[in-house]
Amino acid sequence: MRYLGKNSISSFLRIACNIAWYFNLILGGILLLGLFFFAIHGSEILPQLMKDFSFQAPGLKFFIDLRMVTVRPLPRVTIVAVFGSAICFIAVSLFILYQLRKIFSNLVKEEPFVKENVLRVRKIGVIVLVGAVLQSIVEYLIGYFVVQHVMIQGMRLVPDFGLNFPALLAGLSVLVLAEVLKEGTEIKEDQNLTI
Amino acid sequence: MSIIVHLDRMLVERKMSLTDLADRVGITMANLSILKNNKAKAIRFSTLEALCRELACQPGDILKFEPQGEERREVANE
Repeated sequence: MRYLGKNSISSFLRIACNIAWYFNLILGGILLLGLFFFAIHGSEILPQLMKDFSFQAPGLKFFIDLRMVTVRPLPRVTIVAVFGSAICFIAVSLFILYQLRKIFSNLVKEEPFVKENVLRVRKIGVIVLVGAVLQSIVEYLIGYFVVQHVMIQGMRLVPDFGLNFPALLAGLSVLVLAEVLKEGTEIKEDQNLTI
Repeated sequence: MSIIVHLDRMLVERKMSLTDLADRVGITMANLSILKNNKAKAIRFSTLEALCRELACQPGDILKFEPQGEERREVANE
């Protein structure tokens, strides 16, 4: 099994990243259109669109009968915040996928130890860290908005703030790997300039 | 880099072209140019040996230590 070069795992991953990148681009466009549409008409339409109210816990999904749920008209700022955060996450995904596309493109050319790859891996690490913190803040804000506008009989909803530790660890690990790649690139450069 | 490669001077003295030397030593023109233009970070003993053999000289004839900047001041103080 080949990992670098043409017809290798890298080339397969490059194609997968390309597909995911274009898919995310289309999804981002749809969300942007949704943002404009629902920002104008959302306050009236969204409560009517709700067929049921559900939320998840690890290993469980709760469906609440709509007769037990009271939904206040959502203010425009809530709708914009929800769509805006979704667009931000699509933007982060697009950024990471773009970097991965370029990295895999270099791997297909059998050039793993180049400075460009080091910078791109470092960018991915930073954006994963920033994304993990942003995700926690946005999830808390959405929870806060839900609590403000949705009431369920016999149930008390409380917004909860929690950091995404696996994502933070992943971001830090990627930054460490970027440094390892940097060392490798320097060794490779020394080797190339040893006559 | 304070180590200067005087390959061009040796080539003039021996009336030899870079292409000839590359052929005789068995390294590419691109690598020999890197060495000649002081872009190399290191030189293998085997390369140095081949250069000395073909140019009939000593390693010191090809490589010179010429301190630059801070190193120059330190050498002057000594």
